[in-house]
Amino acid sequence: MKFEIVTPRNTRRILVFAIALLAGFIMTRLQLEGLTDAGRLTLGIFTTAAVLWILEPFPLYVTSFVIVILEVVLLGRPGGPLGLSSTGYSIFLHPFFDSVIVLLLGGFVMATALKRYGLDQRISRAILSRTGTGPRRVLLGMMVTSAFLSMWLSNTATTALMIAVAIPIVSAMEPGEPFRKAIILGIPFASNIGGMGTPIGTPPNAIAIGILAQMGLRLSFIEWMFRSVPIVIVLLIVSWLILCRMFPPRIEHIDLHFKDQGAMGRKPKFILVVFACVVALWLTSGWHGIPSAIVSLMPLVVLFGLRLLRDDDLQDLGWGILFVVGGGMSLGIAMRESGLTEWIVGLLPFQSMGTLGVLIVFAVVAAVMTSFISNSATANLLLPIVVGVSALEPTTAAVAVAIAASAAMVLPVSTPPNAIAYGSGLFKVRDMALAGGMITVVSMPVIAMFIYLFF
Amino acid sequence: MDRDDSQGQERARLEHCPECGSVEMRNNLYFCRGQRIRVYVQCIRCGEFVTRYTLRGYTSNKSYESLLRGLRDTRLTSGKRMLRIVEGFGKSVAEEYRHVLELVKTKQDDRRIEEIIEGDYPDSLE
Ligand SMILES: [Zn+2]
Repeated sequence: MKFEIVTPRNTRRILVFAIALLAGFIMTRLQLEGLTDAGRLTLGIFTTAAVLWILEPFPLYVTSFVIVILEVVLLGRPGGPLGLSSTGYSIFLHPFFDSVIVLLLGGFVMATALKRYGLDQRISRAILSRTGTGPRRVLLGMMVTSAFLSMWLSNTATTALMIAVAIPIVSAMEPGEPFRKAIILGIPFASNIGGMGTPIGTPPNAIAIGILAQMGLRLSFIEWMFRSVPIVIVLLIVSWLILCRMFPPRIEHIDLHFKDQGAMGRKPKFILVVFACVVALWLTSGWHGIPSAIVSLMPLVVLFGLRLLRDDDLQDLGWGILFVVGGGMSLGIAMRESGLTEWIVGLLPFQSMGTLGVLIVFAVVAAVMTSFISNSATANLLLPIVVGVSALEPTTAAVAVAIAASAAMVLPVSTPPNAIAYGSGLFKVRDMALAGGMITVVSMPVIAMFIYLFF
Repeated sequence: MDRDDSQGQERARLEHCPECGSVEMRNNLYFCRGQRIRVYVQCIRCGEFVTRYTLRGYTSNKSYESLLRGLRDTRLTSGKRMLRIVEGFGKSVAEEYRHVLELVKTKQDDRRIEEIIEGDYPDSLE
């Protein structure tokens, strides 16, 4: 296909890119006390990355590769400021096939298989068919289903699936029925919340685990879930109460009559067995000793090997997300190796604050940032810093920030699920801002308290 | 591709029956699990096989619901990008549809469809 390079959009892209490089360059020129040469150069890279991830002139994964190029050119040359050997630059590339990337990859493969064989729909209906007909219970059922699915599928896929389920239900209600909004808002909110629940639920979780692993701190699948699932449950209930209060139902019954899906075929049954085995192995990795990343490769071998998934599926796996995560971890390595993390942490006035106070501050910063920019980009920029704060144990800090990065749901741009729901045209931005804003505000102390009290 | 990137490169062409030249067609959709959906186009006037299309994407007139189906395959971390997709989608389908009808009327490409494909879109040949 023919294409032209000079278009108005590309001009804007190039302009923003130039601004990002310029901003980075200016940062490297500042005389900052206590920062080494390597630290100054890394601050420049960090600034460029931040501008690109905030303004998004191009997809987020492109920025990941900009980071790697800058890291190697500025820091990674032999005899460069980090004093690396001629092959030493590969430390910046390793994160792209880090164990947490492999873990995510396996999660993506499982999610694709569940979808390909209609199991996502079956699971959602299995849960929803048990909710009864009371409107509040139906909403709770929708939210529990969304949260459960988004622990394993992407938050985006979950929202798309569940809104498609909800549209016929909502369309059958009177146009003035306030509870329509509760249902359509409940789905993206629950998907955002459910994503917190597992290491593969949403990229910030994986980034946190990856950054901790770089420091030699291991956080297993089940250890993550011990910390996150109680928060998921509390936030889900809080969100449900808020929605029921803000949009009280006038109707008394909601009929959820689904078409009979027929018996499950052999292939879907097999996929379900594979899924159950993989989850079981993920959760028990401390006991059998096989790292969860390696468990992740098993469904890949089985499902592609037996041609239950095909080459098309491999291409659609979500490589872009993996590269966004890899880029964040690569940036994290440069920040620590160059001493930039330590230097930034030294500037923060945390000495006088207690642990809980620091946790709340970070959770709020994460939530404010992710209201406007991508959750993963926020995690990429914040996590390398928070794990260096001496007032906090790194694992505690990383988990709190990663979870807080999923908690902001004020605007349609805050998360992809919010944007999808907004496309339904069934609510105004104001509705989302009020309900989502309340959830966001409540979630900050909830997250900080849980993490503080229990770990 | 973004609409403003495609100025001056667009074409439109009405499908004609190779036998009788009619433009009235019937679409027969073939579904087989594990394969891409294929559309066999048949001439209504003479019943002749006209062409086969292999489906990559499907958008119904209920475009939000089609979008939801498409998004079940999507992994995206940027809310901004998702909002652009969602907001642009319904509007762009309807808009592009009207635009194509207009193009077919006013500046139709007179080459045969396979000539256009061979010339500019060789990837699409099967
Ligand atoms: Zn004909």
